[in-house]
Amino acid sequence: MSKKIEGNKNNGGSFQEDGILINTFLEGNEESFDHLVLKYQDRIFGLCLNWLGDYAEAEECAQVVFVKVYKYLENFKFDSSFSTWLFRIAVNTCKNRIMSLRFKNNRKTINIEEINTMLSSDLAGPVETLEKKEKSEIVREVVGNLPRLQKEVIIMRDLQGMSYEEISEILNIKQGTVKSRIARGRNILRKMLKGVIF
Amino acid sequence: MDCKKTRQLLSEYIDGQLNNREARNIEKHLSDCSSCAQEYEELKKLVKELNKASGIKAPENFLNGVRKKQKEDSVKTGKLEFLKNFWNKTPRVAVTAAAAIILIILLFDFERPDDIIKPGIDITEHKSGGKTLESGQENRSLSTISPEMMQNGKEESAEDGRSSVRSKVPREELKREMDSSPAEKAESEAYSTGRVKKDILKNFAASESTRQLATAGRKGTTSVVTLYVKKKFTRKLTGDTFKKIIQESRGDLQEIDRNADILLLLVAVPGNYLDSFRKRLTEYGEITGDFPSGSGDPKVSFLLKITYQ
Repeated sequence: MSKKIEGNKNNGGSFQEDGILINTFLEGNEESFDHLVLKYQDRIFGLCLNWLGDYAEAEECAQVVFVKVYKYLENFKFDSSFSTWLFRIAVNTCKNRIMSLRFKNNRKTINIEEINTMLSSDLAGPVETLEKKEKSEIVREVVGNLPRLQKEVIIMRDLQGMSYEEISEILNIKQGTVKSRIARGRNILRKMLKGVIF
Repeated sequence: MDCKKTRQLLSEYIDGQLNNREARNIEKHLSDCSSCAQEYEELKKLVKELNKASGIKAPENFLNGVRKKQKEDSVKTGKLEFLKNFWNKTPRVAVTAAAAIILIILLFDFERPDDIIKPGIDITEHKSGGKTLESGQENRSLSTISPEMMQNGKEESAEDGRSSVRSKVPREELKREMDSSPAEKAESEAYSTGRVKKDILKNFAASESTRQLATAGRKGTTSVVTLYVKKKFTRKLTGDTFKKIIQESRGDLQEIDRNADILLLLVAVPGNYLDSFRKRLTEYGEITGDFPSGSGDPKVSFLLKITYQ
């Protein structure tokens, strides 16, 4: 069941750590899978929330992503980094979910209270936190209303902090396309958010 | 660098994606153009705000939710696997029995058991077919029951005013068809007296009574199975695979009918796979005469008789 880690990736430490967790999981250590979930849950949930714009749907979707990972991890060939593979699953799951009739029919507007509860307030004071939440909320809403192609790359680049290379790999598009979509998306956002953030 | 080009590259410039020369050109333009400089400032602020909006944490107990969902998924998968296994393991008995019973119902007229046999296969499905084949290789022979024969039956059927989808195969034709071995003679006799249907039905009901019938009346019995050769299946159909399928079909039937000497197969082959199917059959047993033609047809159906001697 165990697989050898092959290839050299720039993000060596994380890549190796993932590789060890994957190998030990495939050897039967279930806890290793829990570590993988804990390591990536915020980023995957964040991606799902930004993509779907619905807290409950995002939670469900992110859980489905990890169930798929659990199921298909033995097929992971280490020909990309684990995070690229994981995010590819997440992106496809989000796309499928958003396409599903059920989701379309049940789509709810974002509940601000729900959003508030998930934003960390550890580092800022109450007033600053409120301000931050409001702005973030608006920004997120506007991103959610971007055209699909721009929305995908803006979420991945600016909300998830992925590199152009990672986005290109995950979406299976050329880096030039990633660049132009990001530029176009940011320009749309700049115009839409005038008066809100500047 | 002009304003248009500069604005196109601002996003990449912010992300540090430009080479040194391009970056210097941008910086030079921004220092000279207030309009582009303002757009640059706005974009920088925007990216900063977007980055701030990214601080999302997964819900509490997210991991527990994953574990729960994963367990539910395992149960579902388990059920599917069970069904899959069930399908893989049982079809030869269950499907064979079901197919045979359906075929028997189509083949024989229950209201008039002593009348001539009426194969009820829809003749329109027999778009092409071969002539009667009689052959033997080592211990088996393969033959197709001629669609022309069925066609004759259809005409007679029409004269009788019976359903057009039911056709009659005259007793004489079948007698001739099965005239080459004692087992076949017995078979022919059974056909002519309408006993075959009873035997076959009993074959599926109880092997013991079949054996009794067989020993009391004749040496062999007939088993009927339906073999649908599908595209995917045909691709994998090597000589050995086919042999195995036939043996397994017969093997399963042996659980019900240990005395089956003749296997009737209702075969449906996609036209374009007819040739490869014929080759496989040749590997299994010798075929003499014409094999059904109709490679252009979507499906070619015919009855194949395998005689175990």
